[in-house]
Amino acid sequence: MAENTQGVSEGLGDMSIEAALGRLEEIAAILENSQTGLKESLDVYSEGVQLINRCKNYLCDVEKEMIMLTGQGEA
Amino acid sequence: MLQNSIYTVKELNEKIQELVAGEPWLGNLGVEGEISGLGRDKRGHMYFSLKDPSGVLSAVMFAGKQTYGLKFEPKNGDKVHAFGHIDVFVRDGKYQLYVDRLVRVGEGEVNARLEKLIARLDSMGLFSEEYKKPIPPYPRKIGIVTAGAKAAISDIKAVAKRRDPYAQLICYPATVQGQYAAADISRGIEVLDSMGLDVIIVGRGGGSKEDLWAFNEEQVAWAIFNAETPIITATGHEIDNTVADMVADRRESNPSTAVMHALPVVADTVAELDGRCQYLTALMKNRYAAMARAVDGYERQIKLLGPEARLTSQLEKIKDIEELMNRALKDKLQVTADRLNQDGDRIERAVVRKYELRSNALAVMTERIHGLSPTAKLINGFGYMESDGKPVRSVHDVRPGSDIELTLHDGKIQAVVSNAAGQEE
Repeated sequence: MAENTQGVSEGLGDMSIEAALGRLEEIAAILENSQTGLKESLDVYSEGVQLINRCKNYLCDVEKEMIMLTGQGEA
Repeated sequence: MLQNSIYTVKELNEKIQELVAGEPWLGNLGVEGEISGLGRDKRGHMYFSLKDPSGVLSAVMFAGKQTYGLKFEPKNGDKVHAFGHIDVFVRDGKYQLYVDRLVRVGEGEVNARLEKLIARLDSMGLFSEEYKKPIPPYPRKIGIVTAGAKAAISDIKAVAKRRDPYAQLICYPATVQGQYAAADISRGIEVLDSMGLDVIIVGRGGGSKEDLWAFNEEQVAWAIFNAETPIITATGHEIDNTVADMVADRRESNPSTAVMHALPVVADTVAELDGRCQYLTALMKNRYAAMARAVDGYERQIKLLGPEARLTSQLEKIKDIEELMNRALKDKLQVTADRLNQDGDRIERAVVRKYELRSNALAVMTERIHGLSPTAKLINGFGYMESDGKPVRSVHDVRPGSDIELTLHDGKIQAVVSNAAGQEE
């Protein structure tokens, strides 16, 4: 729904994947909280979706590098 | 005649054995010397040499003799008196002392000097673990200081080639026995050390303690200690460490074994590297998969919890409420309709009853009304009588011959009075 193209080409930058997963955990907790308003939900959701896309891009890069390093196509 | 005789080796050895056996004094004697090259086999038999500065004598003490004939723990360098007999070992063409009893008479001088040297070098830290250099696990260039005997060197080369054909061997053929041995070995170490090799093996294929004496010389100890290159000694003596062994970074039994242990089989190395690479790749893949799973998990969770879901749930709630309201309204309508139906029935019933009541009442009234009407009485045989247009109420109102008119319910009768008399009381 809140697919944001801004995050698509972006990797994790200086952020580690562990830190990203930590933030996603927080976001999930905020969204799980029934007290969170719709506006705030939308904000953190948007952040979460972007972060997930960045994580996926990062993992994609890692996978490419693994394939390159092992010299095999089935990483 | 004797000159022309040809004996087999065995025959000759047996002849000599007979000669020896024919000398009674050889059957029971004592010999003084230092124990050297002491070894035991699996059955416990002891083999050693008795040495003094001028010569060597092979000796054996069988396990059975040791119970009563040996009252101390013998070691190399012990000065002993050995009692027993001389016999020829026919197979080897070798005579030796068969010892029945062994008595220690003191430590050898040579040994005492060696102990002193060891103590001094030890106090200076030459044997200290902190100075031991690690042997590189995958050496490429190996220096060897060893006796120049062709067989020994070709054996080392063969071992090296078999294990790793790419490893480079640099040999320094040294004199390892005699007066100049210590100096030559030391020089060999220095020369190879200056070549920037990965490891240097110093040794020889074997020999008694005395043959290895050069490896107990202080000069060799310092050469090993001062070398920058890790050094493996291989002096071929399993039991006794030489001083060189104590200073060296590692000790092996002989140069071929040293090469074997220092040089991993190249195919193994490649296989190990492959294995490690596979392991690392597997670890990396696992890590990657775990991360990918985590990201997927959060994606599902967050999308599930996202505003879309929230909106959907709110829409659903609204729909639910709407449905609830609809149902409530319908129920209400139904109740009302039912009630209306009920009321309708009641009203209808009431009307019908009322109608019936009225109808009955009307009938009753009609009856009653009919009952009151004079004509109604006529039905039951009653009639009413007139004469001259006047009602006849008494017998006195007529006379015989008077015309009378009788009105019945269904018509009139014209009659004449024949008699009229009053009732007799």
